[in-house]
Amino acid sequence: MDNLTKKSFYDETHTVFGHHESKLLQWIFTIDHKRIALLYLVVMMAFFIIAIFVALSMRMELFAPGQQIMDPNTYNQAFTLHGVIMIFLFVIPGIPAVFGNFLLPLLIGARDVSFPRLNLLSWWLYMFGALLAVMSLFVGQGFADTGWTFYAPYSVQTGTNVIFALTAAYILGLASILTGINFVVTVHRLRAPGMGFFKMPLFVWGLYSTAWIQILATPVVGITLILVILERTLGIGIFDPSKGGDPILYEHLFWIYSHPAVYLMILPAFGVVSEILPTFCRRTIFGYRSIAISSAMIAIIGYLVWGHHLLTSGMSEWAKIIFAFLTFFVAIPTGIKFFDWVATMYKASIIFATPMLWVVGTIITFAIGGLTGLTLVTIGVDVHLHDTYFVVAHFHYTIFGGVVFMLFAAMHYWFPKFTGRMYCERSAKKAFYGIFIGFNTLWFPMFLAGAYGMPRRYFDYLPEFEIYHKIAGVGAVITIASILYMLYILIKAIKNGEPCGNNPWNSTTLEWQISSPPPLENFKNIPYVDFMPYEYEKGQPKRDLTKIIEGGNHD
Amino acid sequence: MLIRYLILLFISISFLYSNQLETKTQEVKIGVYENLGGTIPMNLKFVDEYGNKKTLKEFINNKPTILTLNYYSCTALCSPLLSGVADVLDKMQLKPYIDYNVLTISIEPLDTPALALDKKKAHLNNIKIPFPPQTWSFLTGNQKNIDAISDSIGFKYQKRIKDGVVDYLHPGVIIVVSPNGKIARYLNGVRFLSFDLKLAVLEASQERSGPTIANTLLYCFAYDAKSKTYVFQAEKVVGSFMFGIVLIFFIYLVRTGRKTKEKDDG
Repeated sequence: MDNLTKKSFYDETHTVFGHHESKLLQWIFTIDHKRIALLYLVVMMAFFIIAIFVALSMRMELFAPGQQIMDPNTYNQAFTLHGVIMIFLFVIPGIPAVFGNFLLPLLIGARDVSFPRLNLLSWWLYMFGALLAVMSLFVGQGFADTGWTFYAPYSVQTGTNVIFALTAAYILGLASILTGINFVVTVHRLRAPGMGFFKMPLFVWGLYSTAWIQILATPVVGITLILVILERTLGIGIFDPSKGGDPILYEHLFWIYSHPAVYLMILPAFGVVSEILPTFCRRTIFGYRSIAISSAMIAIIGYLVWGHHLLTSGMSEWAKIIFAFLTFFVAIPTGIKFFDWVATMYKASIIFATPMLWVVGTIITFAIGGLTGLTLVTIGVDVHLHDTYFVVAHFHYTIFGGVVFMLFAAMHYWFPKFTGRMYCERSAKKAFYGIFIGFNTLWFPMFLAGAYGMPRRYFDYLPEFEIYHKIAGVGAVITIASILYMLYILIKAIKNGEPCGNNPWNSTTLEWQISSPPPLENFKNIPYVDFMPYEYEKGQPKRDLTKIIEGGNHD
Repeated sequence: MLIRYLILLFISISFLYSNQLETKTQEVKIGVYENLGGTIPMNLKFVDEYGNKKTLKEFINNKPTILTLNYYSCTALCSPLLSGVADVLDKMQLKPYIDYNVLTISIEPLDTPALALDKKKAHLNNIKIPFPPQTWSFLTGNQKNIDAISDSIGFKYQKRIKDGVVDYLHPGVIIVVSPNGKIARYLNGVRFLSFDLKLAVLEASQERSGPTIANTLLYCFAYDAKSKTYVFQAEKVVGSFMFGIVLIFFIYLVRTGRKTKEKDDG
């Protein structure tokens, strides 16, 4: 029973160039999807911690009106650095790069992704992009001060290292496209025999929809970033009205990618919710098909709504109305998911383990984040709220309270799968409550400040806004302390956690039916899967899946 | 190889195109060359809309002052800018004449106080809060004084005579100066946030200077809407092409189906 003495993927690996003696080379040249997932995890978390401390320094600067710890230009660079790291290095690779890589083959009964070498290349590109972003901090006039959106014409004019940052974002985009292609092909080609599209776990549906967004939308931002570089170096004038260009065009091109990108972030997170809920409610998920299809619907409609970022930038009235209505439509598939989840929980004997706590927390925070999005896209209201702290609060409620919360949930839920051990439940719950309380203290006051007129990205503010910034500052300290505590709990458990067997949650999906941590190439025999992913009867899994896994493929 | 040629072709075309466009705009060096923390010459004399000749020091009258440079026959940027100022003064929740003054100086030496008075009436009408008229003065002056004030705040503009009509190419900006004439902040554009202006006025009253927030300038350019149509066509072509490739990829994946045989099963 003790898997920790069995050989797992930690003990042996395939690499891209033969066999290496050195452990380090075995890791960085590995083509095993599970190891690549962990490589992403380590680097991403390192950047995440840097970015939260940059954010903390901004909050400390804003703790009182006037200048405290940094000058205005440094502040501009700080929020750009925070945004670029969080968006391009943390949230966009986020759940797909770590949990998608680790779990996609496991969930569909495959031995690896379709293109393992391409997978490694994606990670290397990611590292290269990250390196460029870091380098730009130390050369020339320092990091870009444009905000992570790099709006023209300012990004064309500023003296800071915009080109470095854009090139980094471009390369990170390439890594993202390659991961997308890999996942799409894997889902089409490597599903276990018997597993139709509507027998796939819902996390796979989330990853699949996400992968299409990565393939379709990322090239647009790539083109846009190159246009800015050409504009800066050659002055081609595509965003310069004095040469016949149009700065609004930049905003369109940028958001054609960057709005779908927020769905690219949230869809895998929704997938995580759909995995965790049935396990801890001990019942079949309500409305499997509607959840699956709504993922695809969000991905499709999410394409057509970018204009709502430009409601105040100058667009025809018709375009505004259409974009606003399409944005309202996105709320429908999202609402379907929410009601399906609530219906799954209704009258279930819920086990409030830490991952389930995170899910319930997210249902609250994401509901606030999502619904305030509808407030923002109401055209008249947006004229008042555009570029205020209301937007900042909305964004963090969706991305932190949705995506990052679910990343944390996934870190807890699949921790036993990654390590074969269990973390300390009591401490992990404390960390959850700390983050949840800190999070709301940090961002809820920003809704109020924004509604009263506090503009975003400002280094200084009027005295009447001091109270909101003070509360937010306290919230930031609570949040960061709790995040560090949570990471400490998890890291401690890697070594000292209790061994917990293969399937501590008694879950029904395929990844739990093999040993934890999984062996190299996952499945000895590819299973035949002709059943739904979440089938429970009287609070217990309907069938003993370990036998099916051991029985393997019958063809 | 083909790709390399295409890239080369693209870059050389971009070069040619950019140079061609550059020559058109080269002579125009208009803009705002910020001089934050600098001081405006306080003893320059200007004439207000009632014909009184006073120094800037007297006009500023020891209060934070919002300064705009315009000309009164301007058909393009000035009216929206002055309306923007009137609009933001309405919302700013500071007491006019007690907390601040406003000065609009004409960059056209031929502008007269009578013309200035017309402008003043038009814009003061749009302010709904109680607004003492002496808060906002519309000044005229001679070329020497106009040059002195515009140089001190880094306001670069250009006179243009086209078809016998004189007009000026100039940036859209308002400047907040402290009671002692120190330049506290530049606000670019033609529409202003009451938050920005209030913060700037508070800073100016404490003799502090703050950074420019909206760093993007708005110019008084005639905008050629025709020339941008090609951009959208390029967008459509590239978009359709990309979508086509992705669609083919999708159909290919669906048609070829899943991998049925494991090459190396064991």
